[in-house]
Amino acid sequence: MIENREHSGNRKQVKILLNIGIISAFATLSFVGTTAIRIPIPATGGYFNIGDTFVFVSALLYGPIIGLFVGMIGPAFADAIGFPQFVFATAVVKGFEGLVIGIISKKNDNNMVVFLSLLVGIFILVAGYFIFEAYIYTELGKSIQFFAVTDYNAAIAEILPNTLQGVFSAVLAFAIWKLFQGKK
Amino acid sequence: MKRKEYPWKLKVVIIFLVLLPSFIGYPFSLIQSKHFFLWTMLSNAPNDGTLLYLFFSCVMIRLSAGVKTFVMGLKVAGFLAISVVFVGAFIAYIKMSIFTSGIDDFSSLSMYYVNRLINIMTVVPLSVSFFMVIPFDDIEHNIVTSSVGIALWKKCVLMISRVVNNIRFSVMPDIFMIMSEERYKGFIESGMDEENLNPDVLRVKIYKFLKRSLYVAASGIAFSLEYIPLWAYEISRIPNLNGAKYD
Repeated sequence: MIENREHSGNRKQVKILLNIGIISAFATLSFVGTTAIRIPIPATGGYFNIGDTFVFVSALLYGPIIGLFVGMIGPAFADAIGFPQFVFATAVVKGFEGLVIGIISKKNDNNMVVFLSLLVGIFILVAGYFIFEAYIYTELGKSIQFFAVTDYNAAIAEILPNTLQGVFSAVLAFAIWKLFQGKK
Repeated sequence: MKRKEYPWKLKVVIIFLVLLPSFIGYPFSLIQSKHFFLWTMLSNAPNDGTLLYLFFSCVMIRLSAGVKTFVMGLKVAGFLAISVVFVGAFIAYIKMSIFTSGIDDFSSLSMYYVNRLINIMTVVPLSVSFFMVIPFDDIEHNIVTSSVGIALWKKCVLMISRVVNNIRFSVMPDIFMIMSEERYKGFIESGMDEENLNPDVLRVKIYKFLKRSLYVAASGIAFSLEYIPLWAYEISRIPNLNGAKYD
């Protein structure tokens, strides 16, 4: 009886550690994808990267909770190095992006469902940053100088690069997901 | 005489305290003057507070974390500055040359990128030092060799440490090796040949290049996840703090 309880405790620990390991791996890859490949956007001072690919793939392969944590941790850590003002926006937007993609796709094997979830992910990426930069940061910047780094015009200018970033990351994520399909 | 080595926890606290002004601004934001002679002629120039903070952070990293960490931080900052500041400034200048001609715009743009460079050269070495002063290997060793068992959160730290170190020291070098073996460089060079400028040949080459890139990205993910189940099982078998063993 005691032995059984210990084995079930062990299984539970293995599961927790497995999830922590997967989150760490994808968060680190996302961090590398965000920091190593940075193409600057002069209009906003932001930059284009492929960190989203790993958030998308983690959510598609392992579901919403893993997607949420990968999105919140990896890209936010990357922003902490050099762009600390955007840590808050990135953690919220990309965490939500991973969560929603995971919820919609539900580790599904259907191409259309995955395609739809990625489309929603791109929309969250673009709309999320727009809302943060045009409204939330503008309001916060009035009282806290630290957040006064963007405005409505900069937010408008960033819609196109963010869309391109989302589309490119989604195409790459879809292709990687197809490669991994059934091989988890 | 050998210089006394500070405990790593003290180093982390010192660097964290030096990092704080980059988030909250104080006390350097209180210095708003532009007395530094080089900047007095230009608008939007960095103020003395920003420059003082850059100097202060460099001195503190050098004193608390040592020369090696300081140089490493500067290298990473320089690498990031290439894409974010120099390439960014280059693109912005081209864009501005096409659409505007005002000399004031160029001046304020230059100062924007100078400010950005100062920001990166201040914050990045601090962030890098913050992580470099933490002796992850020693922490991992202490956890594994603990005689009284360890708490679940420490097992999680151990797992994170193993995964991150695996990616840093094994996966990334492997990926670079695969990329060099796949002759990416050769592809780019051969693309310059007259024969290879044929649209059909080029299209096939680009397709192959993209396909290989995709396999490299997928390999990166696969290599990163490869040992996680084994480590999860292995770490879970370390005795718990309350003494329960799973043998």
